[in-house]
Amino acid sequence: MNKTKARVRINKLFRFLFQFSGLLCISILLGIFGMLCYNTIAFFTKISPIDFITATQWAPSSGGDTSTYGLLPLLVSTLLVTSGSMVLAIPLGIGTALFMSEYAGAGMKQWLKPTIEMLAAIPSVVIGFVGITIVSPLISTLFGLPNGLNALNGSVLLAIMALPTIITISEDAIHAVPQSLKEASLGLGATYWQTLRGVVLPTAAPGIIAAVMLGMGRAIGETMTVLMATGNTLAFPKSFFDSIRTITATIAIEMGEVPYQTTHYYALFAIAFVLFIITMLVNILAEHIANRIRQFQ
Amino acid sequence: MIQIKHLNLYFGTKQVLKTIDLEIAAHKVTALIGPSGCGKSTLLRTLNRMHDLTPDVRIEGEIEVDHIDVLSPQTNVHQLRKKVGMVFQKPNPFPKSIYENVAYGLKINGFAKGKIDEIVEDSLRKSYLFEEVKDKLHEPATRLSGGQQQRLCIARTIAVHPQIILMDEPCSALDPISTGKIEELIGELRKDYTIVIVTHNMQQAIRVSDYTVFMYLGEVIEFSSTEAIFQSPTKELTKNYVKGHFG
Repeated sequence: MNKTKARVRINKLFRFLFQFSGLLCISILLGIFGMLCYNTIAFFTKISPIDFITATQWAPSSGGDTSTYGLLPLLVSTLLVTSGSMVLAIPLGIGTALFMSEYAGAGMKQWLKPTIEMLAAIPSVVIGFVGITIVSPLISTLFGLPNGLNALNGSVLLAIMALPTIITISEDAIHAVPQSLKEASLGLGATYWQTLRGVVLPTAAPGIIAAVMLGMGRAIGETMTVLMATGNTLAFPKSFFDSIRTITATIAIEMGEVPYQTTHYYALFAIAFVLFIITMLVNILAEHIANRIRQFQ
Repeated sequence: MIQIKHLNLYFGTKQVLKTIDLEIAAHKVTALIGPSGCGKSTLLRTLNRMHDLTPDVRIEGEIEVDHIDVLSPQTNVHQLRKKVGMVFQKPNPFPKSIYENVAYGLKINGFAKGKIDEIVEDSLRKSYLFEEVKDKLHEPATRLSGGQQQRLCIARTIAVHPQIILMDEPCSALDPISTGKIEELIGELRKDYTIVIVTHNMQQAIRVSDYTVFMYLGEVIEFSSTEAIFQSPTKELTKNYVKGHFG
């Protein structure tokens, strides 16, 4: 009798524990969102949103009334370095995933996949080292620049960091395409490449989009690597050969030194909020596209 | 239409087809019957070189389809498969719209855009599907019922104008009513195509085929008109099988 009681109690206890951990996650998320919103609103009581969006300079430390908080150079830097990394990582990642899933033998795949996944385990500081000591000198020699710490350098490094995610998840999606669909296509006289392009890739598309979005999420949010390898110049970037400073790097550099609850302090929250909105939009868009494709499956 | 001479097929060291000699007539329906694992699907899939994808397969002998040496590595396998279409065991429409499913084979084979609409409609009509889907050509094919999906797969196959259609137990995943429709369709298609159908269902072989091949353990035991196989089989093994003593 006592044992039954104990069992019921344990049952209740675990139910409570799981409920608690579920609610905890949601409240942490909401809490962070609330904190971002609160500080962002505080910022906009001091600086008008229009100035924030249209000003072309981020110069908070020039003191007093002369400081400007222009989002644009940071936003453009972030978008530049992220889109550059995606231009490199998407074709390379999907290509590698196709090779692993469709062309590499079982033996090769067996060591290739874990190796690529290991790439994801490299700390971003180490990637930053690689950027400073190898990629950036290479870029400066290749393009005849005095300095290789620029947006291109950041893009290359972020591409390296996004690749493992894009490759592994795309590979899973491509591998999950039923053999029967490939056979149907080949049976109609399609070549293997036509089958990949016409059937395999479209069928795997929701998974591939998810892979790209996760990779992009990593690239947008990455801080240490871009901080180390992109030169940290606050000027408005004109090309991939300019030094830049992303939203993340700006927050990381300035947050430690900024006085509490000043306009500058709130401004850092405001740009973090922008970053949050971008990531959210990217996710919603990806989900929307994937759902449209999925209704055919 | 199809000549098979001394065909042997091995998966690794296991011999799955043993010295098969067959001559399959044009514009007739030939049924392949036999217990599970006797090699009938394997034989069917050699006719359009579907084994190319399978690792560790070894094929000896000769197959000629309409003067094409099927097994020769020089043969253009894509041309061959255009000529020898295939309908699979489970309906396998592409995750695309109904229209795109039929148009797919036309697009990859480089048909002119203007022609495609016409052929799509024609193929859907020939597979008795057009009336059911004409208002939803651009909806996902996966929303169709299993029987409709299989007729769509047949439409997709005939769209590229094959001469031969291979059917690998096309009704095994379908209910009796859908099966009836497919069988009726096969009766109609035999006028224009040579059909080779693998079936588990002996009644189906009787209903749809002109000739029947009985296979057992990788060998052709008996090959004759369907009537002869089921009414007066010459081999004891065939008799036992068609009478339902084993299988």
